Amino acid sequence: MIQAAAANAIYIEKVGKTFDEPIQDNSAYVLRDVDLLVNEGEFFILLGPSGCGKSTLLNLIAGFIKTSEGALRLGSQNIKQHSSQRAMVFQNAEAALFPWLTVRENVEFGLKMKKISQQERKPITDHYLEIVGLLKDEQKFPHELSGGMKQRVQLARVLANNPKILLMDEPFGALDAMTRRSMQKEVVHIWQKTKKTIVFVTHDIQEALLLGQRIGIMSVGPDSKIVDIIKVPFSYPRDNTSVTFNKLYEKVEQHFEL
Amino acid sequence: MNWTNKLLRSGIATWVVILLIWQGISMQSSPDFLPGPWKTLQGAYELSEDGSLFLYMGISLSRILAGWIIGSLIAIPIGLLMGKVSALRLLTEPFLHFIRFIPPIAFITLFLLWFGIGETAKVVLIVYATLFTVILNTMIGVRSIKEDMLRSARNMGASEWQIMQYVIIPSTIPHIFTGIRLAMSSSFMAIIGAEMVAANEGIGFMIWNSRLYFKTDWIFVGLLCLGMMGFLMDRMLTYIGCMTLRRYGIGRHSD
Repeated sequence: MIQAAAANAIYIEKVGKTFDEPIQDNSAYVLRDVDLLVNEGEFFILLGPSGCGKSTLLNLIAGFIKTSEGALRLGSQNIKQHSSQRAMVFQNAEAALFPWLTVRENVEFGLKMKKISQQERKPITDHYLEIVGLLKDEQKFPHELSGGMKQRVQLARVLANNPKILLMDEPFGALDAMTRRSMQKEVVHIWQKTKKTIVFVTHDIQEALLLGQRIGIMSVGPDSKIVDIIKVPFSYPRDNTSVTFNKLYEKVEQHFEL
Repeated sequence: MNWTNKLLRSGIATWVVILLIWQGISMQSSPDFLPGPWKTLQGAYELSEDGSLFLYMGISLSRILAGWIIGSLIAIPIGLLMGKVSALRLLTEPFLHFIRFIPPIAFITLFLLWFGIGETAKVVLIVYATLFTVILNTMIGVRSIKEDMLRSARNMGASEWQIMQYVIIPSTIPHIFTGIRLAMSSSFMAIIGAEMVAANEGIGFMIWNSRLYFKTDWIFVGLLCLGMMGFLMDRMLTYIGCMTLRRYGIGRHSD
């Protein structure tokens, strides 16, 4: 990593995380010696089995939790705490959306916290509600929405803050197959349009291959790390029935065979 | 089928059955031992002729409301802080679980000594009866907020004060509401005890005083008034809650 630090690239060097703090010789590490560079504007996938610490790594990048060892930077700046520059789309929209606010009010939340006036908020909110196709449902409350729509609200809500990085923690894990497919297409579409850096966590190989430019494969914990990085050379939209796609699928799958 | 269902739901059927049973049992007894519905109604008429029944109801109710409102206003911020600041919670929780088992009635003598025999002691007693229920419920409400919700708010740039204002308070409203409803019933218990021991007015005084004249029916009037006042207060509170706090989840699941 000799090149000059790109402002919206994520640098992860020798990062370790243990929840047994203070650290002792026998402390159990969730993550250890994680090295990774996520390039500016890249769609990067963290792929691994349940419990391998991929969500922990995402939470570290978000700044929700602190590293035990190593360095974690966005551009040239150390990541010390959470920031609206690194926006998280949570796995469980039910727990992350505010049930007492309407769809519009949820999307406006970050702007309101920044004390942006009502008049200025409206066009921004309109724009992102439009992008996720929820303009006509803006007055509904989260409990009136389907799972896919809830994730759309979350997506619009973080995009409204214009973050540099999108962190997505298995956001479509709880959706049915068809909704998941359409949400995946939508995320690719938004990524192509906004050119944001995305770190997307999943345990679904097909999802990884449909979305990512590169896939970081994580080993089973404890002491989990990134064991391999696979480039996905296909253009979007991807064809998951093609021979080359399935060849790559098999290659990725080999990492998880016992 | 539909018609009987409606009757059951309205609660009218319940009261008809209770009145019939009450009437039936009272007929086996003397009116001085167990007055029936009719005798009780006559008692209520006697008591309301000079307006004292309504006066007493008004006095008890205003004591309850004063203490309950003051108590809730003190308890809600304390509960919010205890839920948010874990050091404060750890410091105060053992005491909270100790003192909440001391019933308000046990404090009457002390409060009379400290606050005099006037209204203050009675209102303080209701404040005490309200305080711990509301604190505890509010605190539990704050503690049950999902970590993801707080993180998502922080992640969108909310300061800790904004999080209190825009996330913690709104999501705790259902718990606070349950707390103040429960506190209302403990307030009723506390005030009647206080009025029996140390008052010249109020429903508690009326019930206690009735024994001097051996007016069992007046005691029944007092009991019915208490039940009715409590029932109406609770209904009103729930109605107001459903009207104004619906978006916070109050009344959404109960119908």
